[in-house]
Amino acid sequence: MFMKRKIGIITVTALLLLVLVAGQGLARPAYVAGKLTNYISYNLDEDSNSDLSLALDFEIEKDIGPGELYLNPLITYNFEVDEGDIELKEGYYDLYFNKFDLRLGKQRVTWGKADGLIVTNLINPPDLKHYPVVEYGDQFQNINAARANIYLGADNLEVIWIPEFKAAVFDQGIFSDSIKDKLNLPGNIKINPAEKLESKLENSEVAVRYSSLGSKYDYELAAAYLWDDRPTMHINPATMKVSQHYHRLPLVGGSISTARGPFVFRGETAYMIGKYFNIRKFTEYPDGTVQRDILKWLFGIDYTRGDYLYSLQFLQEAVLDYEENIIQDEFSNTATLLIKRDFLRSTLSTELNFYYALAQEELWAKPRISYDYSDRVNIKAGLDYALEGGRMRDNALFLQTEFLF
Amino acid sequence: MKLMQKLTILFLLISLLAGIYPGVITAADITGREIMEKVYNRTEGDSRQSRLKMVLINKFGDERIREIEQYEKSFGQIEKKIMFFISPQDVRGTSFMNWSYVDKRSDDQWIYLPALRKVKRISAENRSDNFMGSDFTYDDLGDRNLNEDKHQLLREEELKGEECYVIKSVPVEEDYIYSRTVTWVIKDKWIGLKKEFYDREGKLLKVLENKEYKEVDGILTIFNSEMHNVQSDHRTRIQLSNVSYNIDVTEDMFTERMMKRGL
Repeated sequence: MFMKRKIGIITVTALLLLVLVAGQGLARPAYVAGKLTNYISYNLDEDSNSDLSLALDFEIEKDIGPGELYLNPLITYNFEVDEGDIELKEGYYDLYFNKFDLRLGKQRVTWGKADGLIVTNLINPPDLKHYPVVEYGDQFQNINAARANIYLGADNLEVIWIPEFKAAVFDQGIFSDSIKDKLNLPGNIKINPAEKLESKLENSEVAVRYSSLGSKYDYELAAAYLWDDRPTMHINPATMKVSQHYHRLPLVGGSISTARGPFVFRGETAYMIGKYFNIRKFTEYPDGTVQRDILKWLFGIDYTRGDYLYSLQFLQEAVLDYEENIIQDEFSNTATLLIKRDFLRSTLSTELNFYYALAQEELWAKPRISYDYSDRVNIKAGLDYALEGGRMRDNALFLQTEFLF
Repeated sequence: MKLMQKLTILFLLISLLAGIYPGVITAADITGREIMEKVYNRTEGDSRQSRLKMVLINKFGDERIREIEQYEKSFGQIEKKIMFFISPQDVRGTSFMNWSYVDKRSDDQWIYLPALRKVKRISAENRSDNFMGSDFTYDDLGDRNLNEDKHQLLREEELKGEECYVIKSVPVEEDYIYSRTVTWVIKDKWIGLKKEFYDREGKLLKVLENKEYKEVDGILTIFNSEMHNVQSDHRTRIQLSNVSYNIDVTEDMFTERMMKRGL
């Protein structure tokens, strides 16, 4: 941890110095903005604070050479664990040409038309440790990548190369316990952590997307050669030891959206090839895994009436050529409903999100409220509360105050 | 007086009363619709770039400032507009694009939200919503078209030293947010000097005043205006700067690329 922090401090300092030095004598001054954020979350089930942190966040933009540098260093201090950290949350260099742009560095990419549910939006792996999230984007990790955008009229061909695979961040203990339960493995069985993939060319990831905005509809076509960002458990039948491995997960997909009067219709689909699943059929599959293709599809409707926005989505994930003992259901269905309204000249924003996982009969209510006290002070509060069903998460509420400068 | 002279004077008098004589336009010569047609069709160039500063002032005098850089261009049957939000800080990087059509098709609209890193199609049916918390709706800012109201010339009068036509416009749509508007249009300039907006109950809701206009590239342009919501005593002052017409922008400006990239 100390080493990581040291590298982080050196990187951020070097980049800041680079901006300042390179900025000397150039006509357009750098854009610098800051944000101080205080975040408190409270676990209602354990009746205790789960997080209390302070974050100082800068955004720096500067024309350098033929392009533009963007840096977003972040300094955080968590009072619950008494630990601080410094990292470059996002930092890249943009090069603009006539019909071609290139972005090099740590960045976030969003694909698809789904809101808050994931179908083709798989470029950035999730970070599920931060909970409850204030912004949707907070649950993704930024990745080091080279991204080229080639413009064909109003259409766009995007090619992304991710040299180093980054895995999802989640609670390993809960994940392992859940798989052990589903596979009926003894509680004391040893599970080795997933091995990090070697940094070499054949382990890199590639993704391509063609997107178009048009007068009737917008669409995207996507193909990617990625890694599944969660490992699969493999059981050694001789030693009964469990090891975790990452596997490739190629996919093709697309999305579409169109507006008709007060309605916006959205659709998105992805076909994933050969995903590894754990299976309770050790006689046929001794290491407890099997490969199957997946089809995911989503349909969404947004409806605007007066000051209200209603947004309804349905997502289905189907495991093709299904076998009874696969630990995931053949069909996993999820529905979401969002009701949103702004008050006080858009300074007060309220929304109520419902998330329903049909197979697990798990229903969550996630109300959020955001108030711009002034152009410099924003206050956000929210609650994640399970109304029904067994759940992986505790009920929790948060309060976040932001000071912009 | 000779017979010929008498006939000429008589013809001129009749012509003036009937509104045939072309020298002077009187109330009888022109209808409310024709006046508003001239207002809507006033030349604005085929493209425009400008910086818009909105100052929102509440009844206690507290101010909030929003700044936008906007580009507009007509491409024959399609009029395209893109707006880049400059301030306040928490909306910086947001952009909004609108394509409107000469035929009766609904507009297409998209918004880019930097927090989501996504260009999102939105419904264009929200024309009655307030724009960025201001006292202006999207319609007030110019998205309305001539045929959406029935126009009637009420009278002619002088306002702030300018000779004006006073026009009442009643929306065709029954449950529209305004029951009527009354506009003071400067004669021969075809530009609004003042506009009153009445709510559904017929009570005065807002007053828009054109405080400063001048010519840019031969086109009359409103540089300073203020909308006062008399019911909530909230005001929005709009200041335009860096205005230029017939600029060299191509369709590439009105794309997903520019929405994401910004200025």
